[in-house]
Amino acid sequence: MTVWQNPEFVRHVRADLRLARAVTVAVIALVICGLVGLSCWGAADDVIEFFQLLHYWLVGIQFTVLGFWCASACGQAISRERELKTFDFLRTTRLTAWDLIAGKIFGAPVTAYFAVGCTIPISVLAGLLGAISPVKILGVYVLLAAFTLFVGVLALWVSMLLEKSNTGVPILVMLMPVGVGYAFSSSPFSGFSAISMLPALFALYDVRSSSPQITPTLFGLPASYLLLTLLLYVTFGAWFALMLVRGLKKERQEIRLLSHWQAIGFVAFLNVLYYAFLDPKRLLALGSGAFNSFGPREAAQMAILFNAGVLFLVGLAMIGSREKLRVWWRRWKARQESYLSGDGLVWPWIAVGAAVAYGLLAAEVFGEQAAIPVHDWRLGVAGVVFLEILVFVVRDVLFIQWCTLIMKKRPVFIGFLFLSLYYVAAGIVASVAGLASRKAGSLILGLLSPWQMMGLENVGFAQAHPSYIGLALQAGVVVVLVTAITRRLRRSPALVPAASS
Amino acid sequence: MGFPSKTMIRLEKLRKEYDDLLAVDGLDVTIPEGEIYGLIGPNGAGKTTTIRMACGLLEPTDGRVFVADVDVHQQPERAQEFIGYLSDFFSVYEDLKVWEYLDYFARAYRMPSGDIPARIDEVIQQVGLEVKRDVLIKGLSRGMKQRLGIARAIIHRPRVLLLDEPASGLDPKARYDLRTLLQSLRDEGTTVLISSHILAELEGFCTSIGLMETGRMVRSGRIEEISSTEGAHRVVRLSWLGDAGGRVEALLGANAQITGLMVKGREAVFRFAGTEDELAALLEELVQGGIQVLAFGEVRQTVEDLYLKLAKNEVM
Repeated sequence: MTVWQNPEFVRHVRADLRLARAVTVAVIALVICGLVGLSCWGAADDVIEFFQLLHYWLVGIQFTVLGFWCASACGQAISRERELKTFDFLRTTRLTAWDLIAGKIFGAPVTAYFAVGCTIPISVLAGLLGAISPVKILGVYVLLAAFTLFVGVLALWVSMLLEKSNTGVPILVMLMPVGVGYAFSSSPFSGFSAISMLPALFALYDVRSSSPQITPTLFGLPASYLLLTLLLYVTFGAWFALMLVRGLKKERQEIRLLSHWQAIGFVAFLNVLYYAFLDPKRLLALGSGAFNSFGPREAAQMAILFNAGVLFLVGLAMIGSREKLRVWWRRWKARQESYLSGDGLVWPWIAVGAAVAYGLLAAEVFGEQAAIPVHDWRLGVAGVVFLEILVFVVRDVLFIQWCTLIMKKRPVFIGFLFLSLYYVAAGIVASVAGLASRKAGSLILGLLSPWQMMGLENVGFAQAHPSYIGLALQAGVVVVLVTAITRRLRRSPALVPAASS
Repeated sequence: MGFPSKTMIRLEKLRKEYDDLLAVDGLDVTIPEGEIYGLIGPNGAGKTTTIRMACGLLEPTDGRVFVADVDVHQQPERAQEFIGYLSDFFSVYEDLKVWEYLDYFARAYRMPSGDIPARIDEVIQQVGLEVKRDVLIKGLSRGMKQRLGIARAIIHRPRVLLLDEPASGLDPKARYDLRTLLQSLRDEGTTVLISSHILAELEGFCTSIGLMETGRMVRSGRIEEISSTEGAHRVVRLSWLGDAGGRVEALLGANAQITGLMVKGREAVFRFAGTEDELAALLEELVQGGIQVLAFGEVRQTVEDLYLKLAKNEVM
């Protein structure tokens, strides 16, 4: 089924682009082009500069309009239909999840596509008359198309998970990659900054910022921002599309974003990306700089922190419905299903994910040994810290899985809030204790959080007793949580009490 | 699959758990082609959950659903070819015209594009929305939107229609039209599974019923079969000429198969626990006893009567 024949796309075209509205949108778009042209005319010194300015401004407006409109329209495309009770009818048609995704991504923001489409000939013509290379103009519009589709998929994914429609959340989600992108721009992982389309856009237009220009690398080789941005949009877009396909036609409560093997694949993908973007030359340069102490050891610690976040999120993505967990429990007790079954407890798979992540760290260490000596990475220390992080992540994910069993409304959100409160409280208690005695502060920090272990390199194996006790304590908490979950699962569901008609 | 070819809907050991509650528990139902099967029961009995599982919207905790021998949860897109579904409260895309709305769903059900315009006109005529064909849906009344919903559900000529409280919000005329439409669809061979807790809605056109309570099927089958197996409780009305009330009361009171005798003027109503032959013998006895019988017959039981009796476990 082509996009033009997709019923969902056709519906949006019919509803959103009736003749009167389409003419109005086109006129408004052209008027805006005219106003931008007038302001550029005043600011330009010559005709070439005028056309260049007009092109830059129009491209900027096109990115902004499409970005926000797609985030808003796709971000409500599913949640709004669920509210209106029209989505059930879509789910009972013969449209596949792919049909629905394509129909919504191309259909929901169709007014924005049309409005931008009206201005593209003007911006392209302005670019050509402004002596901008046609290849660069083509690159910009390839980037615009990839950016729009990526934002659409991301916003649709958010919409699938939202209980109620909300314009703000998808827009916030869309803006996050831009912020995250800039946070990485001067790090040894500058490739991650390509998640924002701005570096690629600036690189295409040769815009120089005040900070020194950093060339991102992919597996140690210089790569263009345009290529990296397209790579990130395609690969991350594919993961989000996979999660959409898995969950789109299901009841919201029955959605499990990734299967266990897909989750392991996602962990591996993110780690490969992390090491692909790691620039060893830049790492060494930073490590030897006067104001920086970032070196291989820190890169390994950062990999561990990165994986803490990854494993936590992947753990959440693997949590299924409590109904499936209960069924798994019964079947497991009857020896009809494995403990590692897809519907069971998620902790064994988080451990597998951690092992994969550690294996990839080791592969990176040995792969880079020509540039960085193996010893500099402190692989053994990293292994101990990884274990500590794994125990904390397992504990936190199990806590949220327990919340899904005991809470009816927004258990993941509430569980996350409790965990945040726990870490804030642990930090405060450790700080207060640290005021009286530094030893007491570090003991409490080691018992209640993994941060003490992050400094293992400085403290040394022999001196890190609080962290080892903390590790044992948290492992005990994990056992308690597994017991609490299994106790809860032992309860048989009760019949719905009869109601009078 | 080994099922009888005429079975259109088959629910096998269907079970659904919500949180700590069991909404549907081990449901086994077989509905042959051309039946109008009324799923009755109080609110919270599990009717909506059953229908949502039957149409593939809700994944069962256990058990399977077959429609036209296709497993609804294993081959969802294929099964939807045979299913038309309508829920109790729903919305429609208000910014589309009536024909555009139906065209949208005809495409979504992958009907051949050449057949769609004629089918839209046919369905619009069936639900009586001819004059509204080119009108935006936001201009329609609630009842008209409900009719449009029905038109949507049948646009692809489904062999099975799953309707969850479809008469909600319809006026009496529209309810009558809905019944007529469902009967004509049944005549064309469509199998209908319809749920309602308003029994009058189902009266007269359901061929089978299933009574659900607390997630379980209390009784299921053709109405005549359920009525006949309920022979121990047939209700009989008798009227006569003249002043024979005392004799009638004495005659009937002496019969051990009669209970709940009520005599008022020249009319009596009682419950008879015997067979049809024994009922005929009773009539003969009355006539031979000199009673001028004016009318003697079984009171036809409504779905509501059956429901109330079944719900009280009188026939269990």
